[in-house]
Amino acid sequence: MIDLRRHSDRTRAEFEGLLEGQLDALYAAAMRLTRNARDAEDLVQDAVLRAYRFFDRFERGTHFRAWIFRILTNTFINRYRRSVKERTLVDGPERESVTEQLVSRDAADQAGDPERHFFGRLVSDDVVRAVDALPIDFRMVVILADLQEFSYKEIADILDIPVGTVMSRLFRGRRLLEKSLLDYAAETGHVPTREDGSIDLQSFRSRKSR
Amino acid sequence: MPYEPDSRPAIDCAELGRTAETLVDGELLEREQAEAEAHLACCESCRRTVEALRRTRAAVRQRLREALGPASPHGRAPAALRSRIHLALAHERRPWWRRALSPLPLAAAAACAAGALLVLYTHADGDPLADEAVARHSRDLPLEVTTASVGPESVAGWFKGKVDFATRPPVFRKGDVRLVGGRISHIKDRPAAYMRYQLPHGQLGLFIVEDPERRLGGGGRPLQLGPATVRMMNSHGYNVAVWRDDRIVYSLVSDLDEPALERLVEAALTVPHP
Repeated sequence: MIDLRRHSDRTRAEFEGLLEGQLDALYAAAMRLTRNARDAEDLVQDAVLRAYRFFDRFERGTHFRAWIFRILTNTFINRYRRSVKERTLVDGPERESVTEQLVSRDAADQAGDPERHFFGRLVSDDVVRAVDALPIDFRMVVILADLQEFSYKEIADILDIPVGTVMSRLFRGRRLLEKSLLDYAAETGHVPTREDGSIDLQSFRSRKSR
Repeated sequence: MPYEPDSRPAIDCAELGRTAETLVDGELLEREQAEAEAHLACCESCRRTVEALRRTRAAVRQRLREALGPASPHGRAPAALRSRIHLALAHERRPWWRRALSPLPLAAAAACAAGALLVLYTHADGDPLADEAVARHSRDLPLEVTTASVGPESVAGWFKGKVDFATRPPVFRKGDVRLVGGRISHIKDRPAAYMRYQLPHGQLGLFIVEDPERRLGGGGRPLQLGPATVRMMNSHGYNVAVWRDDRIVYSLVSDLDEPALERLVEAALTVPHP
């Protein structure tokens, strides 16, 4: 009986040790998935307890961070089932992602430095608003890639989707996010807009360089 | 053509455009990476595109980190959540046979056998002093003084002038107990000296508080350990030992099981204070 008990203490200490380094990141992700603090706390607690129950299946020496994020997103998906509408939004034709990458190339050509300047002036609330406005499938991938800095392959494993799907969701999600950020920046007057309401990066750039 | 005709890159501008984002993410396969680099080496326009994309990516990531990372409230697990998880794990850990032998039924059985009053033993769970000590200990707030910074001998002295009583923690002789540090805490709205100890598997939290009116520490199961009467309590999966030395009440929160905690406290109390 004493041996059982010791084993259990050691397991908990090891689990809590590994968890400690990830708790803030798990909470940050849960906050953006659920979009409110109470649900985020419940989601993290559920996921952590599930992870602990399955801790014997975690292979020592593999990536704990990816493993527990997989449990977090699974718990989220199971608990908050997504609507049919959101699904169809995501799984559009693959060629769209190609077009969007080309479009983004144009935007990036134009943007460059100015983008860095006015992104820097956005208030955090705008960033939160822009992320939260993304459809859930895009939001998950963008958070995992650009906040948690997981690789395509890790995200594919975490969400149990093909790498190609990770890429198309990520690229489209980023375009949507960048557009919202630009819109917010324009609203707060950091970026000039043309008469038709579109963003005039060219004049912003020339004004900066003056 | 934006690239020099004699360099014959394997991919053209359109192709590079399709892979630029993957390139910036550092996710191209080795062969694709080489092709992209060969193209960029001789195409000024695509170089500018990729650089702009890189800057955009870095700027967005930085904004995400600032707004949602650990420096913002959106990216920091609240203390209450940490404490909830810690408590939940402590419960989760307990094997079935321990739950079956939890202190309450055992105490009740002993009480019936001894013909004592059952009501005395229902205090074994849910004592307000033990509850508060456990809640504060499991919150795991940062220490204000650490052994690493001042040495183990000076931690108790750090409380001098910060609390109105002399802080004389017991010396733990058994169980490989290592002092980590301390902070000012509160128990029942009185200032308390809190010290945290590391065990090979788990932690101890010691609260020292002055109680001249002798209002605290009346609950739990009394045990004679060395010179002191120690009351053993259980709260949220932690075992708590509470004893008194004149005006001072000591509460020791631990994730040890009860016999191990008894041995540890007994060994500590049978040696004189330093």
